[in-house]
Amino acid sequence: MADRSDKAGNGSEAPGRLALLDAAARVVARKGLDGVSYRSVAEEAGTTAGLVFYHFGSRESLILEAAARAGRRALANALPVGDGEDLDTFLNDLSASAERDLDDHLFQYEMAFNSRRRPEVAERMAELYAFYSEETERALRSVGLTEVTPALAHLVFAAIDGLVLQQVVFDEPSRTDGGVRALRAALRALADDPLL
Amino acid sequence: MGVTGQADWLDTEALLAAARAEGGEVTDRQLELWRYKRLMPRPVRAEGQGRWLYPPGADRRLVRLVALRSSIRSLELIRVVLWLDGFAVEIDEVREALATAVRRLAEAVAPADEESPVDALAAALAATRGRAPLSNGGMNREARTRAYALLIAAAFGDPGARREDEPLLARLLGESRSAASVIATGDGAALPLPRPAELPATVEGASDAELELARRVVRAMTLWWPLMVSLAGRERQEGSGLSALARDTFEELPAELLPLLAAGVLGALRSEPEAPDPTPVAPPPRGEVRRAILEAGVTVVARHGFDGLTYRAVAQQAGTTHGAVGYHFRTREKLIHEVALEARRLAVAGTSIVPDDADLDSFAGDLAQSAIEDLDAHLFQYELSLQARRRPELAREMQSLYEGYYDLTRQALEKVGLVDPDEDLVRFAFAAIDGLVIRQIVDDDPEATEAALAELRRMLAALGAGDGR
Repeated sequence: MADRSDKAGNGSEAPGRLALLDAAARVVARKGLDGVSYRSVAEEAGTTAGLVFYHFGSRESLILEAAARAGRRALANALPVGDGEDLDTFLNDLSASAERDLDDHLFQYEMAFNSRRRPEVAERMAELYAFYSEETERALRSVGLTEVTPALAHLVFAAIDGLVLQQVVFDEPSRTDGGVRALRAALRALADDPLL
Repeated sequence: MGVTGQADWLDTEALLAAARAEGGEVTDRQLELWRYKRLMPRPVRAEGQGRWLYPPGADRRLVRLVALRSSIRSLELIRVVLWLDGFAVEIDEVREALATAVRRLAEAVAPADEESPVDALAAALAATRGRAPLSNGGMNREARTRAYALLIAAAFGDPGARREDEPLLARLLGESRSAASVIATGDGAALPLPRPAELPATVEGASDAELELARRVVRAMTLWWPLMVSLAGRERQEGSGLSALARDTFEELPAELLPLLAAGVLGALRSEPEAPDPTPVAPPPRGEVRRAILEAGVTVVARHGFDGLTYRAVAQQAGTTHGAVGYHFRTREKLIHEVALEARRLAVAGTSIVPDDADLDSFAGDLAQSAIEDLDAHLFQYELSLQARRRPELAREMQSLYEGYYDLTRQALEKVGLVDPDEDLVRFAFAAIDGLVIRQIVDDDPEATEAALAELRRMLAALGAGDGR
């Protein structure tokens, strides 16, 4: 599979792997997972089904890779990027990014809720979620928290996931902002509490 | 790369010109109306310009629409024909149109006050539609009525015809002797079609996938039937009977009958040939069947998604009959509503979100356990949440589901000593619980879930919950 991806990056005229992954994500957003086929993705990317097959070999691996890419992109937009952030602004952009990256988020939830039907999907989604947790842990440290355990990161990402899901379903960004405020207050209380 | 370049998109003028080129004059106003009625796709505004652009293929659709409009009055019927043609149409509206058409037929066949409704309809048919083309068959009205009654009964899965009726049917059906033979000798158990009263519910309960299947079958029938008739007609002399009727009137007859044909096909698709014999085997008490159906609904959606929620699938899972599901839940909407309540009941019962006492350690206790044991109930709700974006009737279910959860979360927070928690805190706490269940579903790592939950309890303690008060 590796040689395939190498060839794709060689600057040929045809759309590369990444463009195909993005096309797949758009197809999922419009038609759901069942709508993904070599043909539908090829049409979306303006290329041939043969090329899609050439790059990914199976529909499954196409979907999984597209999901991972969409998920990483959405997370990168939601979490603080670097220095200069503190707890007061932590996740300030969550509601905005949930709105902007709606399709990516929907894709993630589809994959998560489907993971129980397919063991190989579950495995890849578990990896992805582990990555989310690590990124969350890193972000929590970057806003000045010192006692950051994996369990805390797990919880904070779960809250982010739950808030974004509610926004995806009900489209009420202001309530996401409210939830984020409560999360910050809880993190602050935790950091300030001498007994804990 | 020009992935979705707007090159193939058509502005209004190009669209109207396409219709004109095919001999149809369409006004702006008419286009507007069709758009409003969702018979035409919604245009998008061209970037940086005032023009509206229609997606590729909209011209073909408009030409077809103009042609249909000249012969069909009902917009709902036109919608069904567009659907059969393979144009994108809101599927829920097609389902509704099919159900309405079939309900009218069902009412005609089974009016409450008629002694023998099938005979009444058969007599009406024999008196009107059959007269001209069928008179060659040399049948008197009585014989025709009897033959029509057999036809109607057969369409509703009643093996009313017997072998001695075959000559009679063969005369009515003209050249379609094989059809007469099928009807006269058919075994009702081979394809137990829905009864008239069940048919509307059958159509309403059809999944999107089943509708699509029916669409293809009807499409194939409408394409093949004229060919069959032509092939048959070439071999035989000027026929009498229905094949002559079909040849003569096929062009104008089908449109209004297509919904019925589609409904009939759906009924056949959704029938259960392998269903147990009709001898009543001590039916379980009513309450239990209902409960079994609801639990089955949760399981079916969790495993196969919303499209899998059909009367047939639920009946199979519940170990009951298609008819029983239709009896307890007249419409698919009603079924969905009740199943959603059931899923919530199961999920809430499994999770003690509201602790029994003020002990903070029991806040959202058994969460991981519930995510494992009531997996289907949770998956059902998540499936519902994604579908709710596309279907307004589900959005209502979802709203009330979540309102219920916020309430429970608020009660739970109060119970552990956070007096009058504000909405933000409720949102956050429930989102965290929801997110933990999702993660548990993906990871299946109850220890990690419990550890994260402990962090949530620690946060609540820092905010003043538990022993602090």
